[in-house]
Amino acid sequence: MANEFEYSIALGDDHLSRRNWDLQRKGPIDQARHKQLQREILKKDPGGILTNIGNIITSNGKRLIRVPVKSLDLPTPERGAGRRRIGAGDGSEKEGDVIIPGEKGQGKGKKAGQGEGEGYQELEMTEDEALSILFENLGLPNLEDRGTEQIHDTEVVWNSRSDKGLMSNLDIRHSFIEAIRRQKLRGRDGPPKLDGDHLKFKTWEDKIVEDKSAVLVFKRDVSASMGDFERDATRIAAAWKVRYLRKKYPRGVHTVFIAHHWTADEVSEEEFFKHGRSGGTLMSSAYEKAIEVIESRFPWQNFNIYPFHYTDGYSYDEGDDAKCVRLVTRMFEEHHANLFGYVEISNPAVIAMYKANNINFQEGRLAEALKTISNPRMIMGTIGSFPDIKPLIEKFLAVESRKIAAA
Amino acid sequence: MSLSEQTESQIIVDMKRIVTGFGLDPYPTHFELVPKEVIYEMAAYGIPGRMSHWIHGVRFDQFKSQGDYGLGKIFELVINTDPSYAFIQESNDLATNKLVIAHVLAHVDFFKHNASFQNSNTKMMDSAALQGDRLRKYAFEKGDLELEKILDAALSIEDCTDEKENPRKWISAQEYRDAQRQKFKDRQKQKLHPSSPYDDILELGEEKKPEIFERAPHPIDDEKNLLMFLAVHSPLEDWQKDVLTIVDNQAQYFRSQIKTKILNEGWASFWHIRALRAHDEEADNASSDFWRWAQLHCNVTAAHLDNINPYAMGLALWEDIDRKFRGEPLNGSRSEREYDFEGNEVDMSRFVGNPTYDIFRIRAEIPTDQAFLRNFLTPELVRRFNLFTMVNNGNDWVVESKDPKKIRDGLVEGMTNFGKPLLVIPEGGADYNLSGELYITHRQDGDRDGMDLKRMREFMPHLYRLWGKTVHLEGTFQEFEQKTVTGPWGFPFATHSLHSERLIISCSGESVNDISEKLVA
Repeated sequence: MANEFEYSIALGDDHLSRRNWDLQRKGPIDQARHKQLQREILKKDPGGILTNIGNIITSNGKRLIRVPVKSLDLPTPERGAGRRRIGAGDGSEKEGDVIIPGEKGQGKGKKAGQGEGEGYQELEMTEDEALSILFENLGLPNLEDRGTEQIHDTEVVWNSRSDKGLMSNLDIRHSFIEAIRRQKLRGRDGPPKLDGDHLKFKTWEDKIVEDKSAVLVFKRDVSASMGDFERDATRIAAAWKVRYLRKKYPRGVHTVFIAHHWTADEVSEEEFFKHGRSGGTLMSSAYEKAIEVIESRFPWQNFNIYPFHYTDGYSYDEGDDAKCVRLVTRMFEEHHANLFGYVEISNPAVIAMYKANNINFQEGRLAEALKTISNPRMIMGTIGSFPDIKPLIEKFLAVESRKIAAA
Repeated sequence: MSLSEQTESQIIVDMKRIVTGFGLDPYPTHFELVPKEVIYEMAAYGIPGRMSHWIHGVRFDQFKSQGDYGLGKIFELVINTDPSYAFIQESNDLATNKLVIAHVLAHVDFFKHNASFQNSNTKMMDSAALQGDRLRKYAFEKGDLELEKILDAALSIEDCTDEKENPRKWISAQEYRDAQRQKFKDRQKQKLHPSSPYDDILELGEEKKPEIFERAPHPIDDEKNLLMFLAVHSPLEDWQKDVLTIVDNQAQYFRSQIKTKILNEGWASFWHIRALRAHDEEADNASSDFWRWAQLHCNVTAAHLDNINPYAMGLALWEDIDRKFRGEPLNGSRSEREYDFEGNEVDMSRFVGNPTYDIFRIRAEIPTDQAFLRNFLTPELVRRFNLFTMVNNGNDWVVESKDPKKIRDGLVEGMTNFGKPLLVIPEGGADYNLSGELYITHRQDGDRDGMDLKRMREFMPHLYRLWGKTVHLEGTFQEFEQKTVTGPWGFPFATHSLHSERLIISCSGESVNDISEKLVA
């Protein structure tokens, strides 16, 4: 097997050699360029990052997100899918058999045709990088100064000088300035000399930084009607919102997670994102729970309040809708909610299916009821497919325009 | 020298002797034992010293993933030069290297003797290195990004050429234009003064006829080599034109190998089996069965067009030809009789000793896999490989036919023009609208032939980048259309249909947004 030294042997007309290839790096270098190009494309179209909330891996205390990206390819002219292809099988195939099933005939499987550059790589980035690619200039709208319970935190700011300190913090520039000053005072010429007694050091100040305190109340419909798409959309929308706001307001943001079906429970963050589904739907239970939590732990005098509700909007009880409207109005009037975000997640195909089967439900009825609330702080949105998520988050967290809207 | 090196050298000497004894005559070959990353790299670039580009990085990464995960090992890589270079994985064990070395020598023999490689540049490695230097110089002078943009465009177009063209050494844009001019002059002369066998007598003593200026369309007829045409006629800077000629030169060097893949891999497999057997006999070693198994096992993933494994198919063809030549029945064949594609029984005696079935002659004279299959594929082989044709009904690929003739025709048809649509600049296409716009026509080959619309839309901006003015492409385009329909139980689902129509797509900018489409009446 392999041994370490190089050799070169002539064998008649032929030749055998073995050299050191350690410096041969063209492949990885060109692949690095390819990754760079993939990253640029991802920046323009970050949908792949958005749907990747599941892939957080803690490493060195930093969270990493791995986004699968397609390999780039050169657009060489290719025949269309109308061409005839040749397949090889085991002899049992008959005319009309499906060989490669799937959307647009692009199935996987051993009998798939040659993959023309259809590979995937995983691009790694930190959560911070992902957030900066996805969202810009968002924040909690309508933030107000509320009460005395603001979170104080210290931040270290290197903005002053002292005569004492560690050598590693030596401020060379000002030390020289001091040396020149002393020299001039004594009337000496020549280059200034630094002496150990008169050095200047950089030092820090504990700066008190405040964030206005706010509580985000996430309410999630986990009833049986919330299917896979609805569940995933909720998780993605809520997760990125939480992350972004935590990054932007590292000190001031509290979170409350409520899951509801027929009844509502406050749950941990982890449970919120993992909760399965069951039960019927009583929307008002979530709003009641939310108010309960706000009244007991997050009084509006001390907290900015941001409730969000993720649901498919299929409520089964007309009376309950009216109740919800009353509860939301209470949130605005009694608890001075800064915003109420209502997210209706509906998959058009499912709606069509229900209609076609005459299944009795009233889609969007809660939404209709909530529309009657004419408060500019009531924001409603829908998610019909994953591309809708990012614009919705931007709508909720748009800071500039809200300042004008807040009455 | 350690035991293993000594043995590898010994194998090379032995195998060389054995294959020479069989009648093979390869170029002198330099074997290099290399780490597997180097093989992946050589496979990605095709030849050492080739220019940097991200597409090579993509291929390198793919080969590396396949190799590291055991999905497809590359045992060897042979460069078509004189002397030839062969890269072998240093981690191969001795048993494997016996097979690999014999395989390599047969490859080199094929490169030396096959018609498609006559005039191939035997010093291509040196040429590629020099070309790489030139490209690096341009990157340094004009910027990496500028070079990359031109390369992106040139590499996308590189296979738009005449499939019948033979390999040639690098020519400059100037030389190419001079050759085109000469062709034009000859045609003009032929039109104005049609030649006859008595021209040399008639012209004696006659005054020279005046040359008549005649406006001719540009180009004068179908121009198939898009890259060289652009190198001559586009408004690019000289260095950019040089880049095009380099890309064209490298592409045509590789095309010889692409169009003889089945021939070559089959040839190498045919001989490595025999060489191993001979080697074992010499060493009094009775393990030939292991080699046959190893041969079948290796290179499973090197799928060529459409699921045809060139090693297996090529080998089967060569074996079939050889045993017919020598009058031997096929082992384990279903019957003693053979039938041709028309269903007529074949008289086996006409193959015996027939020079058309002499494998050494075939190796020299058959220039392409298409010709190989057209002439030597049999219904029996089609059945043995369980082949079938398949078509897309909009949603799935379904089996269309198991008729051997249709399959053979489908195979050959799929290989025309390297499996790509044929794009030409027709007569007058370089001055479309009399405003210097470029018009390209897709020459459709059979009614199923069409271009992938999505992909061609990405292709057009590259053409625009090279031409500088609006570029048009007329042809048959195919794409999938999605519809939502209600199924038999009232459930909606998405379905697709395959849409095919004749369009002209025009591009007047460097992005996909600058593209417009128009139906052709």
